[in-house]
Amino acid sequence: MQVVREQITRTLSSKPTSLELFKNKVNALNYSEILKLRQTERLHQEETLAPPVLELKERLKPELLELIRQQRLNRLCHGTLFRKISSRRRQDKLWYCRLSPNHKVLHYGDVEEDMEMPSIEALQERVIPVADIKNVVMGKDCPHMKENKGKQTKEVLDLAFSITYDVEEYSLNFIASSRTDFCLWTDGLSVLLGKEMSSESMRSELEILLSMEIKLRLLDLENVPIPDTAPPIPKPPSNFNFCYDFSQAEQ
Amino acid sequence: MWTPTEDEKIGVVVCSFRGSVSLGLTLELGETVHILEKCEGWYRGFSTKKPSIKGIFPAGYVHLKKAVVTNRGQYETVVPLEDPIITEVTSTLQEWSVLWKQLYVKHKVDLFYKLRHVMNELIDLRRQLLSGHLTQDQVREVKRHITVRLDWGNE
Repeated sequence: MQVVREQITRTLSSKPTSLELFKNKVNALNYSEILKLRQTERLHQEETLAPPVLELKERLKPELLELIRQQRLNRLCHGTLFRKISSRRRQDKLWYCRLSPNHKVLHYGDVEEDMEMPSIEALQERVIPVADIKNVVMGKDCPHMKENKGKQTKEVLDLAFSITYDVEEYSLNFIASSRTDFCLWTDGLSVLLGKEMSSESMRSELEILLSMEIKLRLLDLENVPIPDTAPPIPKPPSNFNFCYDFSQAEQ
Repeated sequence: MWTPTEDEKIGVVVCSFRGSVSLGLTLELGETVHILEKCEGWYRGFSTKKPSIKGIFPAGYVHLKKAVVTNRGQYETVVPLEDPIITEVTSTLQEWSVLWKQLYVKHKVDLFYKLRHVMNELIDLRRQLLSGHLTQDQVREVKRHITVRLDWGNE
């Protein structure tokens, strides 16, 4: 739609004198021309859909995904407070969950309302070895969501996830206090399970990291045209008798 | 035969080269190379990221930039001919990028977003300077803005 609008505005700005002339001009500025003009005028190189740029972005992703994985695991090691929503009490109980520094064990336990995040050694707490974790489920697939058969609000469903462990009979049920915490933990648990992260936070953080990375990579190409297709590669040189020998220096 | 290059000293890679030739140098889009010598449509040189690795690559795969050469020969130093402030902004951005990613991993959210904002502003200001469309006054203004941001970052 944007392109059609542009076809019309560009044609009008050249002040055609009749409808016929107008139609001809609009047709002349066909779709691909507009796209090319837009690319050179408005979009910066890192924003275009030029194949070499897209390819470079793909090559940059794995390293950035690794950063996100590290961030997730660090946050899990820092630990998070969760609420146990209880219909009986007036106040929800608090509990915490935290990954051990070596990433092998999840520690969790109850906390008093006004306590700071307890250290790994403190308190009576229980553990789940990461190796025993079978799966992570979310939303309506969670045991604690299935209990109240459709009585759960969408809000709660969007914050609920569970870890099933030890032959899938046991589950540790979570209700995150924010969608951010939900994304953090579901991503982090996916990493521990060797699965790909899938949260919307992960996708938006990847975009932020990727957009900066590509800009920096293309800094020295400012005002330099990037060919859409690879230039031809000449025949290999007839000899390798170079002027300079660096073999001594390299040793 | 291979001859040392006179004016072709610095290039920016416009197309990734997989190095699929004997003694070929693998190059990524956007990398900067120093060119030492040439022969039959090929250059021999190295990437500024990995100066110890020398190799050959097609001349058509790099866009040449003007350079200042000192101590011509095997151990020459080559510097791009550009406004020093551009060089400074470019290298500062690359340094800050490393820090910025660390801020992300360590979850220093506030600083992460602030630095990102400043980096984006610097990228934009640098772009404006390179556009060649600015008047003398505008150039002075832009440089002033750049300096302010560089100073902020160095805190």
